[in-house]
Formats: sequence, C-alpha cells, structure tokens
Amino acid sequence: MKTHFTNLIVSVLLLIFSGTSYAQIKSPAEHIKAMKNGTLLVRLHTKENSILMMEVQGQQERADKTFKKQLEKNKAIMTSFKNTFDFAPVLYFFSYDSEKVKNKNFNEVFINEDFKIDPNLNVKDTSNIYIIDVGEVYFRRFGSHMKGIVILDDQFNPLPDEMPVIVRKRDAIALFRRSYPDMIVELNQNLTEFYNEYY
Amino acid sequence: MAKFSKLSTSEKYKLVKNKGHYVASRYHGSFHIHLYRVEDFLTEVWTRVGLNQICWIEETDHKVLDSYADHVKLNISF
Repeated sequence: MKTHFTNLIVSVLLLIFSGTSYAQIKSPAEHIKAMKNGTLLVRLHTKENSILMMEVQGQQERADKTFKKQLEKNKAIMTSFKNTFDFAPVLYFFSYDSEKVKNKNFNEVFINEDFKIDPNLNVKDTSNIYIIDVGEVYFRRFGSHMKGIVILDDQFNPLPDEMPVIVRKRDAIALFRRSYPDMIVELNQNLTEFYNEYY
Repeated sequence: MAKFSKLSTSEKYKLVKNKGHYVASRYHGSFHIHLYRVEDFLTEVWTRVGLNQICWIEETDHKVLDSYADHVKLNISF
C-alpha cells in the first residue's frame, strides 16, 4: 500500500511545488496580459480509461454509450468556444496528450473540427500558454470540487485566486445550472473585464 | 475533518502519506482518483489522467464508496 502511494505521489509532488511557485511568479496583471497575447488550449476529455475498463468487464454497450456521450460533450464544448469566445485564440487537444502539452511538445497534438489530429495546427508562441479544463474544478475556498471550467497555467497548476478563471456550472441547482455556452460566455466576459481593469 | 480541509495540499499530502491507508482507485472524467482512509475519515487524491501530478486532495464521506464498486472485483470461492 505504501509502495503504491509512494510510486504515485513522491515523484510528482516536486512537480506541483515547482509549478506552483512558477505560477506565483507572475502577478494577475501579468497573467491576464500573457493570456490575451497567448493561446488557450482546451483539454477535451476522452474517458479512455473508464471505457477500457467497461470493455474489459464485458460492458460493451455501456462503453459505446459513454464514448458517444463524451463525443457529444466535446462537440458542444468546441462549438461553444467557436461561437462565443474571442478573448484569445483557442486550440484543442485530447486529455491523453496532457503530458506532451505540459512538456510543450506540440507535435501532432491539436485536433481539428472533425476531432482528428491536424499536424498543421500549432501555437505561434509557446511562451504564453494556458490550459482550459472543463469538468471537475477544485475550489480552495471550499476545500472541495464542483463542476465548471477552470484556466490553469502551462504546467496545469492553478492561477492566483484573485483571477476570474473559474466558472461554476452550478450543477446542483437546476434553475441556475449553466450550459457549456453559458459558462464559456461568462468566462470570456470575466477575462475581458479583468483585462480591461489593467490595460 | 473540518481541520483537514483547511490544510494546504502539501500538508494534506504529508498526513495521507504518514497516516493514510490505501483503499481503492477509480476513474472519473479525465481524473484518476485514489481513496485513502486517514484515521476516522476518508480522503480522495485527485490526479489528472495522462499527467503524473496531484491536482488536489479532499476529504469525502462514505457515499463515495459506491463510485468504487465498479472497480472492485470480488473473488469468492465456496
């Protein structure tokens, strides 16, 4: 048990701490400027491990449904960004390529509107990269996670708390629940307003 | 439990490392989550699939155990 834990965590804790300190080097004003001049990379989930587990357990129908449902979600996310987000350029990658993105190895990582890897897609400037993750978001204030959208730095670490880089889905309250377009419009507006406060 | 949520990630990590007992793991979205029992409560260590990196550690309750049912294989022999 201890070995499992150690293997999982010890090697990665340093990455967190190093990444956290990196994220804290820039001020919120510097981050928002870098974001405006940079590229936002949207991490699209694939659930490949869950699907594989279902297949191994002989639950092919459930696996197929999960795959289709995730594809529909990813289409909705991509369409929403395309239609409503203009704060900065956006590119998309699959979650299983996260390590490559973290290492800034952008060769054959980005996907086109047909959800195929497109080698022609790339970032112009690798120094101002931010990650957008849609799904579970951790709220330090509450000490727990909720559904929503979050922007992380290029090492997948949280940005300073005072930045408006988290939008909650409000999943628990049907009346106030936000759709993907709602959340992305809100995020775009928050970023624009925050940028305008400084520049 | 209330105290645990106030700790930083590194403090939570130290506590789980020193006093935690691994229970099970599961996938949720693009997260790989590891459940530990620490003294009289449960904690989950959330990691992003494809990244060897802890995102956060949070306390949880027994309701979450159902989420791990799919990942437990009982080997019963009579």
